[in-house]
Amino acid sequence: MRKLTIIIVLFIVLGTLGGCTAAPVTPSWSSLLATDGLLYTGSQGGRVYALNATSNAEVWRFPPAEEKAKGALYGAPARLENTLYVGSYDHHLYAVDANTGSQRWVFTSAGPILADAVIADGMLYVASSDHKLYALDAQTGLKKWEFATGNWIWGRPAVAAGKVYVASFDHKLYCLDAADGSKEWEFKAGAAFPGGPAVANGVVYCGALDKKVYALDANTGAVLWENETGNWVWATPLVVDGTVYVASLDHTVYALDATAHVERWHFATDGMIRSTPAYADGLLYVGTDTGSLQVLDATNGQPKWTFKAGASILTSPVVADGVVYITTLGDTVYALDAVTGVQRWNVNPGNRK
Amino acid sequence: MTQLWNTIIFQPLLNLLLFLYAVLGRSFGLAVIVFTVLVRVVTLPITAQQMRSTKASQDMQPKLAELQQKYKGDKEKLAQEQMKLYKESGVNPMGCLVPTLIQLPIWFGLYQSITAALPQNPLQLLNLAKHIYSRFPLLANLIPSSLIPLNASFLWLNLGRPDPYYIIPILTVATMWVQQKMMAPRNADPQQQAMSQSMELMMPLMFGYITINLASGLGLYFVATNVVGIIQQYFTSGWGSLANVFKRPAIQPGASRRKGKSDERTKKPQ
Repeated sequence: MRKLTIIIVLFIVLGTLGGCTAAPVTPSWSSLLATDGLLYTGSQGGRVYALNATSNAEVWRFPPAEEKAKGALYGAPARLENTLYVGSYDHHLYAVDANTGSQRWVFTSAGPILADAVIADGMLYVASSDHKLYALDAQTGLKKWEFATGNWIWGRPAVAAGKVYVASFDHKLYCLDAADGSKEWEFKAGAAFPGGPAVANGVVYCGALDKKVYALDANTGAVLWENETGNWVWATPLVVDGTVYVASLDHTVYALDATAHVERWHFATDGMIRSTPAYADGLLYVGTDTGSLQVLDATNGQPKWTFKAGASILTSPVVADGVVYITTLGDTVYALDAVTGVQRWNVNPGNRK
Repeated sequence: MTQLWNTIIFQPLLNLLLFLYAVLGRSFGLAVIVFTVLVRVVTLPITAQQMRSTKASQDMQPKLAELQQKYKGDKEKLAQEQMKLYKESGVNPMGCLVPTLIQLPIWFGLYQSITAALPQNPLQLLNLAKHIYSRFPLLANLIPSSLIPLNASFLWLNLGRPDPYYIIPILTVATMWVQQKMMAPRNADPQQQAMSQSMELMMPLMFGYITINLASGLGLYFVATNVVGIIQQYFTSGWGSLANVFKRPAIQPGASRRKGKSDERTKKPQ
């Protein structure tokens, strides 16, 4: 009897452990793109949805409902003319018609594609967890070149003045020639780079797991300054009018003078800030893992209003035509008045039939 | 409740695991093995009680068999006498269960820690960020951020993924079976003996099956904890029933002459 009881208890434990690991679903956070009156969003269910930005009516979904879904989607879609590009956890980057959602071509890497696709000068830059950055012809999807780093790349690359900047989990930030992918310089930080760099006025800014944000000379890679926060800096820094906004997992947004490296203000929110804040018309929109959208005056950091969503906000808010759009963990999309925070609508596209 | 669990069990175990990784040459496999030994040492009083209880239970088997024979037709009386015997011998019939239940939270915590320490996607990395002791400078210095992401390679394994060659599941089954066999009471009742043997086989197979789908880091923990358990069990009660596995079965009188000789050879002098 005693032994039987132990066996039953252990079977329950094993069943629970087994249950925890059996589900093959890879959760993800979905990202947004708003353009031409459409709002594009990915989903952890492996579909891309195009919604009417005003009414939230579904325009199309990729793949269609009758077809099997793709892998989970993390990165924000990118659009060039009538083509939409989105990377997936299933190792593929899909190019689809931006108006109809029909597939045009697909590119396959050797690992999950979690970073936003970036388009510049007719080229598409795709960073993959297979440690590589790929440069593709945006029209055809043909590979022009690839560059291998020493670990995963989860952050979006940045392109400026014929150079591509990419940060990797191998602790290094690389500057590459956009024409052929040859390395110009590299910079090694004290820890991995989970997010991507930003480039403005000849300076590259990037945050790392060593809790620092680095400002590097875009031509040489020399460190101009570095600033330490209280936790990992995952979000790509945002540069607006000479101010660098740094969001940290220490719950705080820091506004730093881009040149003089002087702190202008900082604001402590109620949760970890994983994503880059959005800026529009003097306001800064900051999402937290506690589900708060904190809106601040960008000049002095004073809070304007807060919106509480039902789940973590882990990707960047998007502002277009006086509306701020956010998406939460679980793929619910909210549209709020960008000035007042009044909710216009919310929808979970994956729950629609 | 989740907060309490994280604070008391999960976070200390996770950070201990990361600390071991930092000081053991950044080998996650070595960290898991040392981690297992440490946990076994900390829980030694509990497991020692479990082993003593098992040994006492084994020693009682002949007397229990006698009682079963004596009170064959009277279940109520049998139960009373069995309880009396347990009481007289100072053995708690639930003595094996309580230590197992106490160890369950540690098992869950270990499972969580090993999977959390090896994030494979951004959500898992964010989860790790929430549980590392980054707010306390002293502890944060012991677990530098430069460790992340951990190197999951160990021998032929990626410890964040299942073993592609099934060696870890096989080792899990083998080591667990040996440990179970060493702990198994010598049961005089053939029916109970058969049930006991079936369980001794089912449990390792069940663990082996689950290890096929789990991160091999957890399988490595199972193997390491079983090996430590075998060593502990050996010093508590010797090889136990395992010694009988490799012995030739005793031959009944009246068997053939050749078999009888064999029987004589295996008999020890009285």
